Amino acid sequence: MITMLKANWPVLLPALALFVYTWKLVASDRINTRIGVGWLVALTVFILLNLLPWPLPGIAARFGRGTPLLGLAILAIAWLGLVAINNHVRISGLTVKLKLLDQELALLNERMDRMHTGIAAPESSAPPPSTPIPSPATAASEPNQPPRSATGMGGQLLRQTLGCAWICVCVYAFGVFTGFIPPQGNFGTVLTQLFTSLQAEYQH
Amino acid sequence: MSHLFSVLGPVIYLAVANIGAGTALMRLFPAQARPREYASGIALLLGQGIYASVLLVAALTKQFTLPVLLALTLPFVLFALYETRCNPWSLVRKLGIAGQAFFGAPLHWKVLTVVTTSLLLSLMASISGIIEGDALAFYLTLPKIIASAHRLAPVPGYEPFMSVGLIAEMQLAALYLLGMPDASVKLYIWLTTLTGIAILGAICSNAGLGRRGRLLAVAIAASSSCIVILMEGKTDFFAAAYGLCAALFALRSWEEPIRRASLMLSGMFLGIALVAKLSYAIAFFPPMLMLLFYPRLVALCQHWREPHQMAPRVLQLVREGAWVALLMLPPFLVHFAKNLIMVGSLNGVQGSFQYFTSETTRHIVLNYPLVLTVGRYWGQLGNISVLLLAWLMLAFVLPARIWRAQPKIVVLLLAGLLGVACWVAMLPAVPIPRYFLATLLILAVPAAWLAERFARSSDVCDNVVVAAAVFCLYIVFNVWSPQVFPVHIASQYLFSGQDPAQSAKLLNINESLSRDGYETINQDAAPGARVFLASYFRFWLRPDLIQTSNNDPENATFKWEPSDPEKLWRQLHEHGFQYLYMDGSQRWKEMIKSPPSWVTVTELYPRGAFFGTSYGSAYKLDFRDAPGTVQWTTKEVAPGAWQVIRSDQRG
Repeated sequence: MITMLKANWPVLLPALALFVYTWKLVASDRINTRIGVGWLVALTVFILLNLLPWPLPGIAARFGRGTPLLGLAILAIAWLGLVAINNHVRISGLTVKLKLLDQELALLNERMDRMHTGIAAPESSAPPPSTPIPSPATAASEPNQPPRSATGMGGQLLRQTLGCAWICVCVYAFGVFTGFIPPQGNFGTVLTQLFTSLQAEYQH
Repeated sequence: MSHLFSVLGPVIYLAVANIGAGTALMRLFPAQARPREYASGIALLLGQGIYASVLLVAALTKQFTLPVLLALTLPFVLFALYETRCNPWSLVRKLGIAGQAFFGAPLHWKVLTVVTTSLLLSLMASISGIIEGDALAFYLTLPKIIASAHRLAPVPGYEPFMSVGLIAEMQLAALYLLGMPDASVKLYIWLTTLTGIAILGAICSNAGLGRRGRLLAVAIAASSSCIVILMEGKTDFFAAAYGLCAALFALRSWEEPIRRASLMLSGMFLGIALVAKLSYAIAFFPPMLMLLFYPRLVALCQHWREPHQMAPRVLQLVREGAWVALLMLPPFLVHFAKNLIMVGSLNGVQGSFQYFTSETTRHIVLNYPLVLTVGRYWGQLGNISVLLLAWLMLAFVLPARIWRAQPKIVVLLLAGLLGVACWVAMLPAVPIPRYFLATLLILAVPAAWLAERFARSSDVCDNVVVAAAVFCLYIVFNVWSPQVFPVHIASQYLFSGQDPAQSAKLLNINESLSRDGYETINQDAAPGARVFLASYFRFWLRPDLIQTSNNDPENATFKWEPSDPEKLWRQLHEHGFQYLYMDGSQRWKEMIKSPPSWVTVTELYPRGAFFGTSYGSAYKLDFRDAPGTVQWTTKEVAPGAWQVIRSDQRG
């Protein structure tokens, strides 16, 4: 890892700086958490790829020294392109929602004004808002779900952690089984033994 | 003209004919019972089932010729074109809706969509991939000789295998008759696989899964190596596709107004699936009974204390069962007729399924379901996706209340588990997912539903579920693409205008070397010459040479005995063999080393390496002043159809 760090520091340094900057943005709530965490995950993967002895050195040995960097650059450009399109879609969606909200707000203001001035609104001229705006209390909790207590939240978090860990173990085992990931440590040895026990040739 | 058109033309023609025939049959049912979504896919699979039986009758009556095929298919091609005349716009509209949904989805779901779709489309490249052993021996060889002989002729050496269902093989024979070259019929296997996976999406939709759930179910199918490896030329997915259609209509039959029609359609598909893969009788038939009659059984249980209400309900159940049985019957009738003609009994010879010792079998049973996902047992040919196991287990970490109001998901889960349990109970020593693929794919629906629910619980879970699917799909592409679906080689093969000999060089290197050995005999041998194949495989041989090669009785009597080295040479001479092909699976090298003085052995392939390589060796045999007389010879009994007959019957 130290060798990789020495070799790849010109790439790692800006990546690390970007990571810290994104982290700060997320922590200070200046960037949408979803987008921010996405970036952090992508940067972590990028940094790990540049630190680990697998698989980039193998690719470099097979296809040439500059290939991994070029590949990562292409991936980064593709990633940026996708993020840009994704943001356009989000912004467009939000614009439509803002317009709707504007209309609803205008209608609501009109009603309020009429109520204050004592003029009853005719049914046909002021239809009810098509999408009722939920109150903050109802918006916070989903329907059909019991109110969340601290214990419930803890249980939910435990369930989620267990589920995620199980999925990761399964995928890692699949990688080792197919030979795509070399077995690492004791867990790798256990998996290899398991896979060896689950094979047999025709015996009759 | 590039190969793309010569390869795509027959496939598109037959697919359109199937859609036409399927649509015409669906017209017999009320409009409500016909699904609007995936209608073309369902019609394609229904048409396949109908045509397989019709073409089998044509082959049994020795009328499997191009004019007959065109007469049977052309009206339905025209009907399909007429029916779909307005559909280009609806297709564009559907694509537009799908595009909107795609662009509205979060980035990581977009990535999963792109990766899954790319993998499924790149399976088309299997056209240039390696051909699996059984396909080289029987499953692609039989269609080739049926098309050439214009009749149902047994594959010499594999006569007992003629009792298997030939639903897929008859369609591949039709493609050969339409002029598809070599192993390019694998494109049709790919098309059927895509359609079957689309039907899996339809089941998900019917069971209440959203777009993401459907995508996850498709990802399970796409990352299953037992499905990817079938692209090597095996036809097991045909049965799975029909089975999935049967399951779809079984679920639709829960809606009372269309129950009768859905039951009938389900019965038809079930019959086709069972004939296509007889092993489905063990692991797929019981779950199907559960899916079909669950509502009625629930009603019976609710009224079991009221005798006056029980009788009509039981009668209704029996009546519905009779309808299903009746609609299952037609493909079986043709199948049994074929068996009576070809092997002399309804079932033929049933092989033993005791593949392993009792100790190994016990180990297999104790390690279910791991053996299905990470086992490497003989004959397995791939596993079901690890995502199935990973996501099904999420049932233990999600709250129990999520199962409420989801009867279809619960019944699908129970039906799938019942099917697996039946399989383990009946055939414990056969942990082969492709033998009960439809049952395992049914389980993909609750697995995808659980994953969808789990992904909704938080952003992290959402990312983990998607990342797991993307990573598994990437591994599948990376591990199996070079051998099974080499994308780069396939694009060269499809888009180049080379002659067949040159394009054959673009096949997987193993296929190319194997083919070369047979090709030297093809170029040298006279029509109907006898070739002794000391190999399990014969696909690359000329159809007339395959028909006159060594048969099952000859294989049983021809044995190499070092104590009497001349015996086998005498037998070869008396049975009229002029060529010998030997590959690494046979050990007759000693025989070739020291032939008697009255035999001249000329090496045809590979020249300069006399005792051959693992890819095989081809020899020409010249008998001069040999002891004994030639007792067997060959005769062309009809254009393209050859038979081995006794020499004294030739006149």
